[in-house]
Amino acid sequence: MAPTWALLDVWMEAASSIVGLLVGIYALKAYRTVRERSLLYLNTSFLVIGSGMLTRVLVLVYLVVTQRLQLRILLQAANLIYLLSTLAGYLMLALAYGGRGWGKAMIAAQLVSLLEMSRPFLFFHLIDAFLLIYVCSNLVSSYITDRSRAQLAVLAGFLLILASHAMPLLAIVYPPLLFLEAAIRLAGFLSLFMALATVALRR
Amino acid sequence: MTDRAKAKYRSQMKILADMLEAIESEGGRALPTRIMFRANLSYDRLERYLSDLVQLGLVEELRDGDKVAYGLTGKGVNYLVEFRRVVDFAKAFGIPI
Repeated sequence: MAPTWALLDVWMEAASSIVGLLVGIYALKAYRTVRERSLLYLNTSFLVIGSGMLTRVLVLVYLVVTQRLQLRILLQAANLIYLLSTLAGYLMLALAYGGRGWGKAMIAAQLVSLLEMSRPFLFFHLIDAFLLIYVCSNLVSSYITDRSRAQLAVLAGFLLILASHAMPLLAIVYPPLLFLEAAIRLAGFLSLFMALATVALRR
Repeated sequence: MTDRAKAKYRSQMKILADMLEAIESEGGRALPTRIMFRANLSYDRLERYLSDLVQLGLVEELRDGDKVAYGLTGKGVNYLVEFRRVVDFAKAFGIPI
């Protein structure tokens, strides 16, 4: 059986994926109401990220339940789907904020990073982090203008998600930090959920 | 398109919401000229969009002799509430509508 901390990791990722899918579904509803293209990018972004995380969770649960953890290729495939989906999702987010230049630059950087196969996962996290810095910079400037509670929750959420991507990079220096990745990401998604609830339940 | 031009652009949905808000701010029913001024529209566009709103069931024509006013329907009120929620959601994510 997998150790308890590993399963906790999986459940935290499951919760994050559900919040991601909820945000994506609400963004689709928002797009249908106002027909603003940026909302379609937001919708696609969260649906892709949520689906990627959920796929990895389902694969891990399947491997644990059937006690087939030795099937490393399946695990690696799930990890790859997760990494590609987060990358595609964050690229979509960058597009939602009009960052076409950034999007192209990051795709180019990703292609270059594929050449560096010694630590490919770290490159994914690095590029995800750069895209999230771009997203956060946009959120900071919009928060300075409006200063609403929902905006603050979204900004905090993305900053925490950004911090979660920094964990695998910092773990090179201090490996235990890797275990914080899922917890920090969940805190980020819960912050996004708070923003969604604040807005959606408003009368 | 320049940034200035982009900033001035209003989507059709935003225009319809502005018209509904104009009617709401007049107490739920308004004359076409009031809607035109409050929603910042030309007369041609006003006529076109009013007919769209009536077709969508968001507003209804209220005739009083020669005068025609437009009133919000229940569906229109619900749409306005939903539109405001969506605007708040988009704003929270730093996306201006």
